[in-house]
Amino acid sequence: MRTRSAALVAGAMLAAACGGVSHQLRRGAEPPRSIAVLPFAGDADPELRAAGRALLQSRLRAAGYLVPEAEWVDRALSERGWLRDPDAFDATALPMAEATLALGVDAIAVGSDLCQSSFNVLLLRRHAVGGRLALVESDGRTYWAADHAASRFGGFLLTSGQVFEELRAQGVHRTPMATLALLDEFVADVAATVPTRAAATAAAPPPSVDEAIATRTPLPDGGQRLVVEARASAGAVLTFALPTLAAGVPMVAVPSGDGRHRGAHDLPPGTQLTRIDVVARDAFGREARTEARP
Amino acid sequence: MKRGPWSLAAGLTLLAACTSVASHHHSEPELARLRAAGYRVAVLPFAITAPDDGFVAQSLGPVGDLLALEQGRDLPRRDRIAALLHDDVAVWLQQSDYQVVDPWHVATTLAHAGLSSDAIQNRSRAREIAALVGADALLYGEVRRWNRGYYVLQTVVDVALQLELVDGGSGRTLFTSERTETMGSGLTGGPTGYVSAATEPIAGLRGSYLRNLSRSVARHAVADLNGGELGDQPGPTTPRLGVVALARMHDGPFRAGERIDVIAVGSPDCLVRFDLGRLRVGVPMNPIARHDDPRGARATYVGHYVVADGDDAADLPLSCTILRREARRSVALRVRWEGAVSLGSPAIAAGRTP
Repeated sequence: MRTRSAALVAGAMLAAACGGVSHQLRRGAEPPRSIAVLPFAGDADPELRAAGRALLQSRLRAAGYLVPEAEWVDRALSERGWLRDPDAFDATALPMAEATLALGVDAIAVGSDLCQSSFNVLLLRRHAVGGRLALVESDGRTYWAADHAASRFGGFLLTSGQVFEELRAQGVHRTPMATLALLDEFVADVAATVPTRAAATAAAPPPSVDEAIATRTPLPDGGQRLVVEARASAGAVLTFALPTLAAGVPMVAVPSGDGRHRGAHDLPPGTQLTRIDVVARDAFGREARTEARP
Repeated sequence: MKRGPWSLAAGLTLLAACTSVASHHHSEPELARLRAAGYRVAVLPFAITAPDDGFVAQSLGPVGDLLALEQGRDLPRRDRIAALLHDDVAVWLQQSDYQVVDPWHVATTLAHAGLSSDAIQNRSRAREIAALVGADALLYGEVRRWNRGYYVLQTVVDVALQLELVDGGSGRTLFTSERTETMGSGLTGGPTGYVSAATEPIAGLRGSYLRNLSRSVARHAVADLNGGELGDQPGPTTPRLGVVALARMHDGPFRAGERIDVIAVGSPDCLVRFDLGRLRVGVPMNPIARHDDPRGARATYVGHYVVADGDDAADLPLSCTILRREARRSVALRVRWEGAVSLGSPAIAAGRTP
């Protein structure tokens, strides 16, 4: 009888231990102020990994950190040749010191081994989303890391006392919303172990853009190549738009161009332009606009 | 025979205590248009009016204490609950079609302005606060239930959240919702043996149940605000792309000044863009032809990118994204081409037709 009680207590303690998030925090270290979240790696679908990354960004923002937009981070990594395909990204080869400098952040959030697993044989079922997240600083040291899986475990064998509840659970097993709920749980539980910090204002002033000019050169097909140039503050990503024709045409920093950016778009013969809008967007989504004369 | 109505009433009462969702919401018609135009929403601190748990539930509460409430220990527990739901809603709103003012910006601005909780919750000051935080609209929230009830053979856990979106320009309420999710454990869960009749209600007090419910309430309430499910799950009305390819094949890397032409065929009357890896994203594409077919109309879209000085990348994946122009909400579908594209001077492009 005593053995059975001891086994029961041990089992209960084991079950309780399984529910927690395993994490490590470098004690005494100053928490980072700004964090760039990299694309997640792992066996999970690219869409699930992208959703997990977006959720972690939002959770870190809610915890008071400055978190640059994913699109801005990806472009900065791509321009330096560190990111070719986000669906197959692996952060292990990333030079952390150079990357934090290029991204202008104190730390980088690396998600790895993000995976989804499930089985359901009615008597037993399990659906889990898990992975490993870490905050790595410029010196390559890990400030915080967590390893966790959010899971639903059940089946008629285990929940004979709650048959109606189990029937309901069987109905939603591995549905997209159930997967999303598990991903939400995984990210929220893990992010809850990152220390919160007092919210700080953005380090850099909002972006600026000016000196926009447009030139046209004829093309062999009778059309014209429109080249738009503008000068913007450091770190801004520029696009231009031709109302009703094209929006979001990328502009690229001119090598050693002192903040000048240039983009080109070919116009079909006979195109009349009314205006050209140039938009500069910084890492935190703040925008500035100017207009170039067509 | 007289037992019939009583049995029915008892059954209905039991079912009502079981796991359930009660939700109603109302949106003004212009909300979809505002959302599509990039409506900027600030999520204000939430109020909490949930009653305190009863003595028994409070006593048993620690068996399921919440890790998520461990943070912000300097705040009273009720305020921490409101902050938890606020963060859940803010997080999911950032996955929606709205633009969200950074939560830290809202918190800092309100703190610097020295506004009291009552002043922040006062709807008549919505215009002033929206201007202060730089938002088009304010989202108010009220946690109406966050409770665990223990009744020996049954435990009921419920979370209720009310949301209200107020336009910062006109002061009008554009959206309201009230959502209550309830989880019952014990008798209503099904056939319950002697042991589980006693243990299930206690297990039902677990903090994880309360946390899962609160996350679910927040997620679904934001989905209602967003006009549909979150998470970009393609549905029957999601537009499709059948073909994505380079319109003109090219030997070797594309050099500065050369054009990368992309063609896509898919659902008509949509917005289509292409990405070269993550280096150049959202390049616009325009429809050039429409094909009406008994199986459904299709359109051909073309777009191009003029390679810039300094563009230098090898084997970039090419993908297109399509979404409806006037969607109730914009679920986008992304399709990849099988080949890859190189820019500048690196390795040879590896383009293959699909």
